[in-house]
Amino acid sequence: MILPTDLPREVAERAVQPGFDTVLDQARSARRRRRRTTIASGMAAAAVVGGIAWGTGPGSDGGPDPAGSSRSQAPTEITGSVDPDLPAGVHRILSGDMVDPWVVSPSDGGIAALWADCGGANGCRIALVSRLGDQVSSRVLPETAFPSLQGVPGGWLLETADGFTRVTPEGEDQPVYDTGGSLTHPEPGDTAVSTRRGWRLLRGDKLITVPAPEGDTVQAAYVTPAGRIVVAVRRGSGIVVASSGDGSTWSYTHMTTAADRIVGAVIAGQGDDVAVALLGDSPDGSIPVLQVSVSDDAGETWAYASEGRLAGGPGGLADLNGLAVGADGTTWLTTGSAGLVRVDSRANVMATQLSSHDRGVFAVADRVCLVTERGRYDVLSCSDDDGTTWVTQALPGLQ
Amino acid sequence: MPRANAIDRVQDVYGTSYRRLVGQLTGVTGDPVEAEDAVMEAFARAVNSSRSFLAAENPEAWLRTVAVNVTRTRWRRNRFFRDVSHRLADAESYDDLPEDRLALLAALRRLPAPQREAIALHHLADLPVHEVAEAVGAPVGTVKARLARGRAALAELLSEPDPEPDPEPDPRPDSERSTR
Repeated sequence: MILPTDLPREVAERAVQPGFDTVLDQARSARRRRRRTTIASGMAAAAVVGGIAWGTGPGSDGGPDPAGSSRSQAPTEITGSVDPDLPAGVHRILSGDMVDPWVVSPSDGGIAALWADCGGANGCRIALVSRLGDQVSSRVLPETAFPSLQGVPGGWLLETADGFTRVTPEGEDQPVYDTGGSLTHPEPGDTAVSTRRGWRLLRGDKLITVPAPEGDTVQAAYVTPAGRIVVAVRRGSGIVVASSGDGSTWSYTHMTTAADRIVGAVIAGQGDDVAVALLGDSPDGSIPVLQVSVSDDAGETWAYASEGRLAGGPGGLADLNGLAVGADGTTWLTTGSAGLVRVDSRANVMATQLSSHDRGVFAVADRVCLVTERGRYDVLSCSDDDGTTWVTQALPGLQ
Repeated sequence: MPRANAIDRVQDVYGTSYRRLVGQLTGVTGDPVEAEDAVMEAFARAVNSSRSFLAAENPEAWLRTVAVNVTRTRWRRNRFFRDVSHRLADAESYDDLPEDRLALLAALRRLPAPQREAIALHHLADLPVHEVAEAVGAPVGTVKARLARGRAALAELLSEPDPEPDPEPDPRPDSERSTR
């Protein structure tokens, strides 16, 4: 067979090259569109790390490392293909042209992915696939409101239009009830989760309203293993971060005003280490990360990351899509502007981009993991040496 | 905002590499207009990922990899670049391509995507196998296997202009939930 190898040249000769302004316009449009997705994904990331904190806190053995199966096993080549043993309905979704791992979350030794294929004319098709060792559980979710998934003690909290379910790593469902009700004191073992009706504390099989100072609207929350809660609340046109041991007496930090142009906050934590990212709103359509602060005493005192990278100016961080705190207190961010970013315990900021589209960072046990772009399907990249080396593995549902 | 020197660098590469990349990506997409969209999006990403782009040893290879990824991950274009789905290019520009080129593009479109990428980048764009492997994010051995299968499939497609496409394998009987 002889191929007409002149084809690329012949096409190149005919290609009409738009002016460079077209590239710049497209880049600006992309940043504006990212803005609309960043807040939601950032909030989801905060909820994920809330669950991780439980898994590694006092009184827990942490269980097996959900993302660390490669530590005790020889790494296998990632073929980048859909697991042929999945049920046909799930297989079809994962084979979709526009399928995406919308949420990837660890819990109790397993890891789950919420896959969405939004390429059809009739909205999105959603599948949940979880993996615990060699055991894979999967299901097609109803095509109703877009579900959410967060790692919590005992599995993942799945919210659909029908309500809440805790899906165990073994694939079983346990009902969870949103009691709402009056504010309550946070307790050890509570997990802060984000729901469509606002932030809640997951306690056993009940969801309880998160306490907040003076009835402010909670933007993000994290509960330490000892039961101390850190919240970011909207007050007037600013954001206030506060912490409390009993849900009624609050220590205030991070007081901002309208002049600071803070539009949102994301909180993540592990043990008593907590990180807060305050987000702005740039005229160019991006969401700058205006401030990252870290605390190693459950929100009592804070160190502020060097502002050189955080002022929203040239080279500044923007478009946060993940926030996590590692076992050693290192804070990790994934951003649209610089990929993976590491903030050490001295609050020094260093970008360590792994792929052209790093996102969804989370920490579990002594590992930090994120979803990195790699061909047809993204992969999970994990490091257990503070980001020096990375091991990739397939996302749940893939090989 | 991207740094000014980064934008200058992207503009330089845009001037020298845009058309060549469109030519190379045409085999990957099987459609020169889609190739133009993918390459344009790759340049836009270079502007928005200026640090990574500036750090690349070979900017054109960086753009090629991003463009290949763009063609494979349409969902991202839909999610983050939804308004870019309009065709930036005029398809009529390519109407005068020789018949055998059009037949080749039609055959390429019928290949599985991994084989099409390997064939296009190696045999049409003339990239060495290791650069193809880098561009598509697969081991060299995997690329070689795809090339072998792709050549065989393409030979069959080009010798039989209108064969019926293979039905998709049915992985397992349908069911809503499964644990194994």
